[in-house]
Amino acid sequence: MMEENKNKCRFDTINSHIDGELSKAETKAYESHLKDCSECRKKADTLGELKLRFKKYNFSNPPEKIFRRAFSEYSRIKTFRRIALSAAAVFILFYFGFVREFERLHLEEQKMEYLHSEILEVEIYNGIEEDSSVIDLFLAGKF
Amino acid sequence: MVWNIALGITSDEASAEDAASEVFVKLFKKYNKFSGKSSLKTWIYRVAVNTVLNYVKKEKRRKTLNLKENLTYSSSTEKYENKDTVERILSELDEKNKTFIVLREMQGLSYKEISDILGMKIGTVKTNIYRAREKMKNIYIDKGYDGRE
Repeated sequence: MMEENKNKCRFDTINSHIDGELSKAETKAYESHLKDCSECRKKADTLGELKLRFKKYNFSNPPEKIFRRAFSEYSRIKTFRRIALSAAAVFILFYFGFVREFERLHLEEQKMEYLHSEILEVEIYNGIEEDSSVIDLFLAGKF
Repeated sequence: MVWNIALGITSDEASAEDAASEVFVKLFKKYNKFSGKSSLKTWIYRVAVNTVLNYVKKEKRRKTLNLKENLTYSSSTEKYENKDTVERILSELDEKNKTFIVLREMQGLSYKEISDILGMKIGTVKTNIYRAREKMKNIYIDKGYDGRE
């Protein structure tokens, strides 16, 4: 009996009662407990009263300007995003259209320089070959 | 819905206005990303609660939000009107407890809906609401708002 009462005094039982989550039989048993337990009765009364007060509370109407303000803020963000996207697009176009072209030309130039040096080397080699033997070339450090 | 959450959690009309417009901006921005995994109502509540709580945290850091000082209390023997009483109790709760009370008692949401909004288990939601109610009850009695001095 003591154990049973202890369970009924638990704060989750009071809350379930307040929320109307107890079954019919449980509610009946709990209500008879409330008649005997003044502490629980006081708690249940106060919680019930508060629940009702909060339920009855009427929020003031939202000021209309909230929507206008939010919408203009959103438009500002959207415009900023559009500008940022346009700037990014311009940068990408510039990079691929100009910088990459510049890099390509620079690479071409390097290739040409390399080819030129190769040709020069062959010309030197051919020139020397006419007058010297292979051993002489080796000794001259041309290999 | 958004306004009630903002006003309930900030307990201050000017701050609620700022917070609510932040919520709307987020809703406009994120609407395309709404996947439909939860209901639209749950999604709006989730965005609203998170944005308002972040707003309060940000404002507290800037120390511009001092709600308790903004309220002018009259004598505790005075019998408060319901609106007054509710607002006074709310202003004395911390944001976490306020959130649970606003969602459950003022918006009338079920434990399941609250657990979806806050991403918590139903058991955790219940425990938090019971604790918030206990705190609310203590404020109600201790401050004499129940008129039974």
